[in-house]
Amino acid sequence: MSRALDNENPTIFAPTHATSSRRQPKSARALLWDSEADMFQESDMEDGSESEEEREEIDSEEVFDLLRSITDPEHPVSLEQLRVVNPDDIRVAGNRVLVYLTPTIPHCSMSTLIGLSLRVRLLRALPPRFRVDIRIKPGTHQSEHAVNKQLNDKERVQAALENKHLLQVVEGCLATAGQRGVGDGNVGAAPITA
Amino acid sequence: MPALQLIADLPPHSATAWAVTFNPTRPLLASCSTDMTFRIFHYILPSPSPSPSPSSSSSFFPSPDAPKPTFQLLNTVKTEHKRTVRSIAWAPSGRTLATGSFDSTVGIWEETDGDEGDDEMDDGQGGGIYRPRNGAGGNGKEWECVTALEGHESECKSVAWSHDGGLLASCSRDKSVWVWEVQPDDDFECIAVMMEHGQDVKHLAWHPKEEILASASYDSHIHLQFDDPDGDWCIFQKLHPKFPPAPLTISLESSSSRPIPVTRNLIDNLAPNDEEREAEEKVVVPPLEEDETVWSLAWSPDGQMLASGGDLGGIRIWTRKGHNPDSLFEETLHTSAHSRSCFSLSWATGGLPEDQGGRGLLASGGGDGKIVIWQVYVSPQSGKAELQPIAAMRDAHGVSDVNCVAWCVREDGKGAGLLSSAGDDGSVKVWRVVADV
Repeated sequence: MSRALDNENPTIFAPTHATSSRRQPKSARALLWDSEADMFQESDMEDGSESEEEREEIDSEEVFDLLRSITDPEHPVSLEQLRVVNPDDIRVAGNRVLVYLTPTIPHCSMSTLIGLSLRVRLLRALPPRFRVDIRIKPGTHQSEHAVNKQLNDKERVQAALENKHLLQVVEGCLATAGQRGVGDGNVGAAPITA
Repeated sequence: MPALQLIADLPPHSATAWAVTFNPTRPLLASCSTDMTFRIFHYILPSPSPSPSPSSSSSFFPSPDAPKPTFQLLNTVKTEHKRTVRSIAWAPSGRTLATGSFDSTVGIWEETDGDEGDDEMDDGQGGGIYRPRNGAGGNGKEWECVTALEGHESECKSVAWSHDGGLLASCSRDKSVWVWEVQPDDDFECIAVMMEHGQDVKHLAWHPKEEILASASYDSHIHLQFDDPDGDWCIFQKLHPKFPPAPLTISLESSSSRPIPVTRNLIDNLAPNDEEREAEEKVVVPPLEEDETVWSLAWSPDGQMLASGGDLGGIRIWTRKGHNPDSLFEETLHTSAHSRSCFSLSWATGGLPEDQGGRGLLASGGGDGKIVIWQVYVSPQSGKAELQPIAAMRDAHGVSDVNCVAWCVREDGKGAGLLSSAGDDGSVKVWRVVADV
């Protein structure tokens, strides 16, 4: 991209949120929610999970886990490293998921694109019963309300996904999403679809 | 004490179903989808049964045991659209379809097979069945795109025919509303382009009897436009909502101000259940601060009221203050309805008779997965039109949003009371309001 970056020097934080905090028995099934995987393929389960209740409970840590490794559209680092997504800014209850994203700078023109990437990731990875709301963390963006409205318009989201150029950028950001943290030796963190 | 009864769960689209609409002259239903197809369904109505004795309010509606119409998929038409087919509309003749697509074009579709007479499309009321003329396996006729209308710069979001079919309107994310004049030989001439919305134009609705066009936008406004006798097409009123939503209160206690008694079935389907209530308490989703998008519009059958549905889930009623072509409208009601966006509205006659204050049945569908049926009535106390929910269905399309609801309104009156709906999961369903079991 030839255009000047919105934020040339973002602060990059070390990922502090250990992948091991994920509840292991559920990770196998959680990974199966990846769009590429067949979510109904019982035989792919690690153990005798047929007896498990059909409806999997999901908590904010698992949602964070789905989002943390998405790559920033401007920099080759993850949204977790930029602290654009934070475990404390995700709420889950019943069928509701609420994600606050924190742009690195208040005039970041990439916020809509990042929000779109989060939405697409959750659309593909969460069971369809979840209704997802995405908000800019209050006070962190000059056009907070306008961006919020756009990110939550399903028609605009669908149209964006049919825009080849935009979709390519989103897919680029999502290419790393399956890493779910870092390759820190935790076998469970490797995407099974790779 | 009505309830909503499922009549048909039709073979689903392979992606989001956005819109569904009954044919105004023939027993056909059409739906459209992100899968870039539209589908045509045929239905057969049961033989008419003697109308029930008007002993209670329940008798406005058929018994749940009454014979049901049967539906069947006729055609899956792969369109030439390159993206989502967002909107679909039958011309009043019932012979032509318009499709509006995210590829920015409008398609005009007709059956290729010129047919004489309607005998092969018998309603079934005489015991006839649909006999396809061509195509094997009951695929029915072929649909052909006879014209593609170009001009919008980005996604076309809604198409609508005027009451006599002389005009077609389209709107887009490019903020414009176009009016096309229908000419012989599938020719369409653009006679007006209105560019006064500040954002996407989401939905269009023509007045049921006059050439008045309402447009709803992301910019939170509704524009009313007409062909000014002294000039060109122009906007004669810009509506902007003012009322805060009145809370929706329902209780089993009988009330003289309520024309139809409330039932347990309604409360079970309408009120949040324990799980939803708990989720609402634990995760408080901050409302969007900008003025709400207007997603949906529906005219009352007499054209004296306009209903609109918004991003916050409420329904507003706008009432016309006169009978002139450019008589102004005024907001007269805003009720809470859905817990997420109200994506669709449809208004038809039915329910409480007009001489008892009834003004038809309004159906609403939303991002909360619910379909709600509202009795519109003029309150003897206030003299104003009020909405009372009389039937509802939670999870009408499973876990999916309800994107569209549409009553069957035919010139011969047949099929009245049937309601179709389209869901985010691609499903298309048909319902009817019945007297409670």
